[in-house]
Amino acid sequence: METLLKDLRYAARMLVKHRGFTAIAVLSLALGIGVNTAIFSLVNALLVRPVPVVREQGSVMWLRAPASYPDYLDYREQAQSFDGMAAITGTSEFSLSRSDSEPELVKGEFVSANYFDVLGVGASRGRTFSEDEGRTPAPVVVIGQRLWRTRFNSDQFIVGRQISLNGLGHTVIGVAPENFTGTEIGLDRELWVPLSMQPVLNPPEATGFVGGGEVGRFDERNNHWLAVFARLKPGVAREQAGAELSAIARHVAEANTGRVDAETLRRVQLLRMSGGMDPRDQEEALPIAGIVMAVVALVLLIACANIAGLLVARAAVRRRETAIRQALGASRPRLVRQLLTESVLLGVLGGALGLLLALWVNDILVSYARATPLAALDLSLDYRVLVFTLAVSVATGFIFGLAPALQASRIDIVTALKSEDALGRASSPRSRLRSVFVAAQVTLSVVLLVGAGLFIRSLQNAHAIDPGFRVDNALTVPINLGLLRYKATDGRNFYRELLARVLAQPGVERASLVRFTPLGFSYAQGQVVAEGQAAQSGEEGTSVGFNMVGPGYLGTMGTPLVRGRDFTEADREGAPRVAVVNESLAETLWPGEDPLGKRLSFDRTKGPFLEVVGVARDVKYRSLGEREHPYVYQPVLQSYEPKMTLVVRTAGDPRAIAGAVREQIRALDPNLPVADIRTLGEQFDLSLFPARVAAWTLGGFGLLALVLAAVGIYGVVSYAVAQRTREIGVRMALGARRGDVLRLVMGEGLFVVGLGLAAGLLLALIATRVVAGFLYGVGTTDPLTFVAVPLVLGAIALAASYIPARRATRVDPMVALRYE
Amino acid sequence: MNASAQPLLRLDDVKKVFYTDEVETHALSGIHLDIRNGEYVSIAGPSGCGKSTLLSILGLLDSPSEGGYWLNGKQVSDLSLSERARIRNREVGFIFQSFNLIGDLSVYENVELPLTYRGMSSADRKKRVHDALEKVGMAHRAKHLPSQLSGGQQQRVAVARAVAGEPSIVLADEPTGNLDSTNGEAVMELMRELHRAGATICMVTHDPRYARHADRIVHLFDGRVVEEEQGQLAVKAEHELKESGFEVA
Ligand SMILES: Nc1ncnc2c1ncn2[C@@H]1O[C@H](COP(=O)(O)OP(=O)(O)O)[C@@H](O)[C@H]1O
Ligand SMILES: [Mg+2]
Repeated sequence: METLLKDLRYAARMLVKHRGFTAIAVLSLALGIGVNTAIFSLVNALLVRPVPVVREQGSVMWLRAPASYPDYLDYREQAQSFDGMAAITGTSEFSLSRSDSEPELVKGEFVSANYFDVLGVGASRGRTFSEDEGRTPAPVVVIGQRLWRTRFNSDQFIVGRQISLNGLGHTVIGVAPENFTGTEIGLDRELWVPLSMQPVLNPPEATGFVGGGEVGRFDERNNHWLAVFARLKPGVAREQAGAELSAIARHVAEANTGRVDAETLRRVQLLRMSGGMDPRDQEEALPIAGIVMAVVALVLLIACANIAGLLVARAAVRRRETAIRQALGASRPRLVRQLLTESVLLGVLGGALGLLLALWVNDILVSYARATPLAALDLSLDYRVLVFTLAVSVATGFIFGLAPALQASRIDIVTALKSEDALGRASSPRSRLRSVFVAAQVTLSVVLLVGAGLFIRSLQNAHAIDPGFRVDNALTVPINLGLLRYKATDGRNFYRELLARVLAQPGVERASLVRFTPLGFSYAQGQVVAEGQAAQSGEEGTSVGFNMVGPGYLGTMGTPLVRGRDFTEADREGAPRVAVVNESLAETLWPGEDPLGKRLSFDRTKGPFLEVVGVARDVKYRSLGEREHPYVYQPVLQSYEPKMTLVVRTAGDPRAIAGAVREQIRALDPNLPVADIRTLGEQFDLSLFPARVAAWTLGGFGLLALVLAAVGIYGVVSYAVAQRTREIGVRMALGARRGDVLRLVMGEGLFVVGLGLAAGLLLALIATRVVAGFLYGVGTTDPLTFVAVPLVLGAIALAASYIPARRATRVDPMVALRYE
Repeated sequence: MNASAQPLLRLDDVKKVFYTDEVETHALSGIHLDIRNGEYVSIAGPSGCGKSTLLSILGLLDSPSEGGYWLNGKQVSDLSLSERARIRNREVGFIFQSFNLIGDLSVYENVELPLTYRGMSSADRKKRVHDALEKVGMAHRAKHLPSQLSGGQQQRVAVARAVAGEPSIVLADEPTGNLDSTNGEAVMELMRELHRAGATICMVTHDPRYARHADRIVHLFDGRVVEEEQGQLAVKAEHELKESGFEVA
C-alpha cells in the first residue's frame, strides 16, 4: 500500500514533468474513451439499463418463443415457476379525441390485466387493471404521466373521466407513475388498454390481409402476435423455469396438432428484461451495436498504439535512469509496476476528460433522437456508464502501458551504463516495437477510412440509382381506418371517395393508395405459386414481396409498365381477381413466355388465383442497394387494408397541397387523425439515413484515426531524428547530403506506413464484407476507395514524416566531433 | 618532404567566434596554417584551446567567422551546403575520438558508407572497402557489427572508413582518447603506416608521445598558434643519437 502511494506520487511527478507528452496522451485517450463511453451510454440505455420503475427487475424475464393467445394461457396456467405472466401486443396507434380539438394519434399498447402487477408497478393516481377487466372487454385505460400532464393539464380529477379512444368512450382508471413508459424504453408509449379490448378496438372485420385477416386472434394457435414476460418465483433458477416452459410447449404442441414440428420443439428461452427492448428487437439491435462498439474500440486501440509508441520513445530517454535503478537492486516486476502505475494514471486522466466529452456527445445524440421513434431516449449518466468508463480507462492504461513497460525493464544494464555505445538503434527491439504500433495505427485507420469511403461513395451513388419511381413532386399521407373500426366495405368506399376528392384538387395530377410505401420502413413477404407449376416451385412456392395498391398506382408513382395495364376503378370487389407482377417475377415464373393472362396464388394451389394483367419495371422496395427480386401488386379494392398511405402526384411543390388533403380527410371523417405527412423526397432521404449516419460516423472516426496515426508517424520520425542526431552528424561529416539524410530518416517511417497500409487494405477487404448489405451500387472492393484511401493516407504520412525529417537535415555535423 | 610550392591547404588569419546567450567565445583568433601534401601534422594544446574547432573548419564541418581557407588552391571558406558535403566526401577523411561507427551497419557497410554518397559503382566500392580493411587488418571482420568489436578494433575500422575514399587529407580528433595504451599504440602505428604510404594527416592529440610521431607539432593556446616544432624529425634525431651511443635525456 505504501509502495503504491509512493509509485503514484512518483508517477504524478513524472506526468507533470513531461507535460507535453502528458497533454498529447490525455487528449488522445479522452477522444478514444469519450466515443466509447458515448456509444456505451447508448447501448446501455437501449440494451442494458433496467426498465424504469419496474420492481425487482432481475426476476422479470421475457419468454423468447413465438406466442399465440392460447399458448400464453397454457404457459400461464400450467407453469409453476412464476409469480405471474403477462402478455402485450407491442406498440399500437390510438386515435385520442376530446370534444374540443382535432383527433390525435397516440401510441399505446394492449396489455393483459396483470401487466402492472407482474411488473410491480402501481398507479400514481387511481388504480391499475382488475382481473375482471382482463376477462371481459372493459373500456378502461391507464394513461402515462406525460399524457396526463400535456394533454390533460395535470387534471386533478382525471380518474373517472371519459375519454374517446378510436371513437369509443373509455374511462380513465389510473395514471402510471413518473418515468414509466412501458417495458420498451424510448418508445414513448402513453396509454395502456386491457388486451380484452383488442377485438373491440381492432375488430377482425376491420382488419386487412396484412393484419391477420379475419382470423380470430384469440383462438388461433398459429397467430403469434404476443410478447410474453413473467416474474420468476423467488429461488427458482432461470434454466429450471425455461425447462418447465419448454416441456409445456411440447405437451401443448402434441395435444393440439398431434405432432411436434421443429417450430414447437424450439426451447423456450428466458431473457432478462434488461435494457427495455423487446427480445425480437434486441436480436436485430445486438449485431449493429456490436459493429459500432467494435468501430469505437478500434479508435481507442489506435489511441493506445499511439501512446504506447510515445512511451517506448520515452523509455529510451529514461534508459539510463532505469538501468541505474536496476543496478541499485530494483527487481523487474517492481520496475514494471512503477511504469504501469504511470500509464494507468494517464488512462484515468484520459477517462475523466473522455467522460466529459461523452456527456457532450450524448446531449447532441438526444437532441437528434427527438425527431425519431426513440424520442424518449434517456442517456443520462448512471453507475454502469461510470463503471464502464473507469474499467475502460484502467484497462486502456494497461494495454498501452504493458508492452512498453516490459520492454523498458528488459534492458542490458551493462550496455546502458556504458557511456560508449555504437550509434543508432534503428533495429533495436525498442524501435521495432514502436514501429509495430505505428503500423497498427495505420492499419486501423485504413480500415475505418475504407469503410467511410464506401459509405460516402454509396451515398453519391444513391442519387444516381434509379429507384424505379419518381421521387420529386409527390406527397404521402398515412391513413389508418383501423383506428375507427371501418369494415371492409366502408373502408373501400372511404378510399374511393377520398381519391375522387383529392383528384379534384387544383395542382393534383394523380393520386393513389399504397400499403407499403417503397423505401418506407415496412415490407411484406409471401409465397406465390404459379398455376400449374406447384410441383416445380416446391411446396413453399416462390418467395415474393407484395403490396396492396389503389387504382392508377403505378402511374402515380411513375413506375413504367412493361406490358399490360395498371389497376383501375374496375378492379374492385366481385370483379375477376387480378395482379401486376414485376419483371423479375415474370422472368422467374414464366421465362420466355408471355406473363399476361397467367395466374398465380398466394395460398399454394388452393387459390384464389390472381390473373396477371400487367408487368411493371422493378422498383427498389426496401433499400436502394437491394438486388432485383420478385414482387406482386394487388388491388386494395379487391380485398381490404385498413392502413394505407395516400400518394399524391402534384404539378408543383407537394407541400403546398398538404392542407387541402388534410381538409378533404376531415370532411370525410372528422375523427380520423392524420399525422406524419411527408413528401416522397423526404421519405427517400430518410431511407438514406442509416447510410448517412454510417458515412458520418465512420468518416469522423476515420479522420480521428488518421489524425492519431499522423501524430504517431510524426512521433516515430521525430524520435528517430532525436535518437540518431549523432549518427546523422557522422553521416554528414562523411559527406551525406540533404537528400541522403531525408531519405534515411523518412525511409524508415514510410516503410512502416507502407506495411500498415498493406495490412490495412487486406483487413479492409475482409472487414467491409460485413457492411456489404448497407451499400448502394458500390462493391466492397470499390477501386476508387481502395486507391483514394492509401493515396490520402500516404500523402499525410509523407507530410507527417517530412516535417521532423527536415529537422534532421539541419543537424550540425559538428556533433560528430563532440564527445560525451 | 619539400613538396610542391603550393600547400595542400592554407588557413589565412582564420577566426572563429561562437555566440551563446550573449557570450562571445573566441575559439580561434587568427590562425595561419599551411599543410603540405604528404605532411603529418599534429595539433596539441590544453582542453578548450580550440583544437576541435580548428579541425572542424579544416574538415568543412564549420566555416570560419573570418579569414580564408584554401584547399588544393581553391577558396573553400564560403561554399554552398551541398558543395561542402561533396568536398567532405571526396577530399576529407575523418577519424573521431568516439569512433562513430554506425551500430546498425556491418563493418563492411560502415567503410562503404562515404563511397555510397559518392555514387560509386558497387564493384569499385567493394574493391576499395576490401583494400581499406586489409590496410587496417580488419578484413576478416567485415561482416561483424561494431558492437561485436573491441574499441581498438572499432577505431581501426574507423580509420579504414576514413581512408577508403582516398581523401586528400585525413583529419583525426584525439583518435586514441577512448583507447587504452596498447590499443592507442596500435592505432598510432596505423597512422604512421598511412603516412609512410603517402597520406596527408592532421591529428589532434594532447599526448606528447603520439604528437611526436608527426613531422610537425602545432601548439595551440587560447585559439592561437603559440609554437611549432618539428616532431618526427626530433624523434628521428633522438633515435639516431641513441644509435650512435649518446645518452638521451
Ligand atoms: N558550438 C559551440 N558553441 C559555443 N562555444 C563553442 C562551441 N564549440 C566550441 N566552443 C567553445 O570554443 C572553445 C574551443 O572549443 P574546442 O575546439 O572544442 O576545444 P578543444 O577541442 O581544444 O578542447 C571552447 O571554449 C568551447 O567551449
Ligand atoms: Mg576537442
